[in-house]
Amino acid sequence: MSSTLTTLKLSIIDKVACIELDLPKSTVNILSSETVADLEGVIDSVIADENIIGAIISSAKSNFIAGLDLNTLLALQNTDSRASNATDHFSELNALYRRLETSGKPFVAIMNGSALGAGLELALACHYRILADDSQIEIGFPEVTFGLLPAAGGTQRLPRLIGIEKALTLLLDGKPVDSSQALALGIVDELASKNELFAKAKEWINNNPAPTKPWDVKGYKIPYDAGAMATHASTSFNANLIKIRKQTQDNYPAPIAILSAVYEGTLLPFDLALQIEAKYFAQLYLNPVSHNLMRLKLTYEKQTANSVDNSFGEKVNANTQTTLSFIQNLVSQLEKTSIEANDTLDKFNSRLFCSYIDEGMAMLAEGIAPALIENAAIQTSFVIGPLAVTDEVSLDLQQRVVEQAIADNLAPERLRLHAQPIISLMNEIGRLGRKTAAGFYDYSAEQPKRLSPVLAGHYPLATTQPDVKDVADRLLYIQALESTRCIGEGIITPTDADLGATLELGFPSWTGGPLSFIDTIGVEAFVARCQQLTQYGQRFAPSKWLIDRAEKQQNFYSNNS
Amino acid sequence: MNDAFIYDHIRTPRGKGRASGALHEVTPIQLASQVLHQLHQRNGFDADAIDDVGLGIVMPIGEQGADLTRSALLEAGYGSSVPGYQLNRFCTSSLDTLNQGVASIMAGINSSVIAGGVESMSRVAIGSDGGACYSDPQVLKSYPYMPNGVAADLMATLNGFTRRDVDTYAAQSQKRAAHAQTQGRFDKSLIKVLDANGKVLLAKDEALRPETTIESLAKLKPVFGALGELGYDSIAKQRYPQLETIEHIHTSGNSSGIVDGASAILIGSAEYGVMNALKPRARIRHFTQIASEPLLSLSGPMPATEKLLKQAKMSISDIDFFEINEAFAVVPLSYMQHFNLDDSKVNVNGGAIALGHPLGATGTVLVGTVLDELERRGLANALITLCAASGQATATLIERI
Repeated sequence: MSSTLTTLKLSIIDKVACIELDLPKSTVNILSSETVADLEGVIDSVIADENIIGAIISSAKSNFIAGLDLNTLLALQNTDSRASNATDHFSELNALYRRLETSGKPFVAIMNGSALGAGLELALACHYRILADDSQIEIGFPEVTFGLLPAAGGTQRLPRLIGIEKALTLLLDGKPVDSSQALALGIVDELASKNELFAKAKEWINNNPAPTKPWDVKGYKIPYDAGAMATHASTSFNANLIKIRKQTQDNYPAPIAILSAVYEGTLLPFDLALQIEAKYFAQLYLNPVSHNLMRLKLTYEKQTANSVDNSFGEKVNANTQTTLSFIQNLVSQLEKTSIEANDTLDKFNSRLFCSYIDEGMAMLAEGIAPALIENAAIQTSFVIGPLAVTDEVSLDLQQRVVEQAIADNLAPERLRLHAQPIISLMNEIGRLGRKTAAGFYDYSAEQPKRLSPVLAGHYPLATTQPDVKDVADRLLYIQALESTRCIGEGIITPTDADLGATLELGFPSWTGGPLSFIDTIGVEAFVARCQQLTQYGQRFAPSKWLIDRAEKQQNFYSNNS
Repeated sequence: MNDAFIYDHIRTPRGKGRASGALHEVTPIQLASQVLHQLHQRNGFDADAIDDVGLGIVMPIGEQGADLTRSALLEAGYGSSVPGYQLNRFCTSSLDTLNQGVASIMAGINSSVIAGGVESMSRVAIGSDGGACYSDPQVLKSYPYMPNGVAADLMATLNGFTRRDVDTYAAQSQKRAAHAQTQGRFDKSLIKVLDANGKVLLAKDEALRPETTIESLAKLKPVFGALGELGYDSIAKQRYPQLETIEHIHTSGNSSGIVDGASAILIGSAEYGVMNALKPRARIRHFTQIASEPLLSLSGPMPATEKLLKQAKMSISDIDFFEINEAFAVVPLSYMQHFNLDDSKVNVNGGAIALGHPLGATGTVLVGTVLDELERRGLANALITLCAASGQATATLIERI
């Protein structure tokens, strides 16, 4: 065995190879490229060595393995631009796992702590999994939350082990389960206390000298069937897909790619299925959305100083974001920042938020159908429409903000001129928002809120309505522009702006944030579109500073972030 | 081009499409073969000499699978020289077999064909056929099969029809169907369905509810809201973003009934009639098929009619009767709204809301129903059209001889 192993320790006890992962300079194990290289060397040696009867894979840290190194993945995306490269990205790792599981020698994963993503995939490749009985442990596949899918066999092993329906509950949501749920679902084979893990693994190895995976046995049929005629097809494929399309508004490609990898892969022999998984991975990898979400996740983890924090997934999950608690949090944030905007983050939040709702109100006054405005926002994956959120934070607060801005003698562009007439009118007619049960919407206990028919009387509908894409662009671009002004004035950095906008203010996370949005489109193209949009108001005019950046093609993020 | 004539039409009565329905015990092949057999018995043509037999079957799987038509016609006593095929274009299927058969005769290729359909919805349930448009995520992400009821509700919201509008229409369909039944207006085309020992299982349509009123319909709960909420409303609004919400108004009472049934029409050239001593009852003047916006799904009958009339160089006012399949009440209502039609010309003897919609068979059922009425009233022509999922529609124009 090689003595140059840096990320794991190898010892042979009673002819069993004990592989203990221990990533240097880290409190947690992740599947770094060094770890993969070490594993490859060790696993192939174990397979070749006739004096070794099996292997136990474990972790020296408090978690098992947390997943891949996203920094590496993110950096590679900027260089790895051809689809053919992307489909090969995990081919070596997948080949290693196939050698492991077809080796005829027992490999047991003993998990003392959380196994997520690539860590769980390694465990699934093993022939037996023993998990510590601990309700704090997290077992899951968070890849969907950063725009990817498990590409080391997770989409193919999990459904073949526990059935498609149950596998999809983990793969599509990205939410982890605890140890007892992992056992109940069949993801792991046994629970044990931490000090029993090793002994139980040894016992299993002794009793199972030549294990195979079910899918490598002739005549194998996936439990509970696969494909369009499966009895679960209407829930697994149809209902799930329709729910996904509602949640993601078709802006997040990962859940559908996962569903396709499972739908198609489970109809195929295993090695061919892995190729299908790789192709759908490639699609996601080459999509800027995954780049944006990965960057957000890494920023969030740095800021929360937590290298294994799974709450990022909840924060970007569109389903969670539309919950009452998220909106209440948003509202309370905005209420306190609006007037006393001394703190730079508060200033940014306030300016961003006001640019959003003011654009919504300006469009209403132009005769654009209120339903079109709100639908444009929702269909772009804003958490809440501009008219709805204005009702939540209330129109009298907006009136006070405007009066304060005038009293403070702020520059014209800070006076919210295009929204003032609407704010005044709504205050005059006593429609202050949810708190008066009447704002842009009418509120009642018996029914869901509805846009008020009163609006058409004050703002008659224009005979030609714009395309929903134009409405969406106005909402996106005005906030992106306002963000660049804040960057230019030194109020905030791009990473902080993007993180705050997406996780706290409901800006669509698929963009990666307002500045990331500009980078994705390209600063030049962004500026050109802004100039088109000035037909709606000078507030869309890009500053000289921004125009200069466009001419120099200067992104907000450098190429390796 | 040759003329193609309808020589005869027959159909089974429609049994309720559940285990308690009178036709539930009848296998689909029996339904189809009894109709084909009776068609021959009534008309006495040479059963070895039919050029082709096409049956619409929308769930062509299990006991309705494997080209049921060929087995059914052999079972019915047709010769081994008679070929048969099955066709699926959802709800228009038997009208498509009619049109395709007619085309082959107009082209001079065939002399005689039988067109029709069979569907035992109580035995082979709707949606049981798998289908990429229901299950393949790569298809669903762009072109999902819009559940028919959600599409109907979308159409009602877009066209401004209320719950009361659709219930009023549905009550009228029930009233007209009940009246037509008691007046014997369906008797000419109905055959009795027999059991294995010749006992009559069903002689009249059984799904209708003559006691229906607008008030009784108003008590029913809308059925498609849950599907809408799941995500179909959201998908519809991507295409129609001016809509704040879709009002879910269709219920089991104002949607087509789920039933079992079969129908068949004998079509032939002029010479064929002469050679077989058969009197033509109608000439097919023209026909067409189109498709339109897939999410709205059910709005095909209007553009199909416009295309057909344009090609036939006729106007809407030239048509005496319309049969617009009552897939959901909103469909004929939207049609009448679009063409500014009086309901005195539309579905005059009721429709699928009262009588039921045996998916693969309904097209030719509507043709036969309206032909009987044309003959009863001495009127000249009728336009028959049905919507099919994903925006499709087929239309046929017949002229009474």
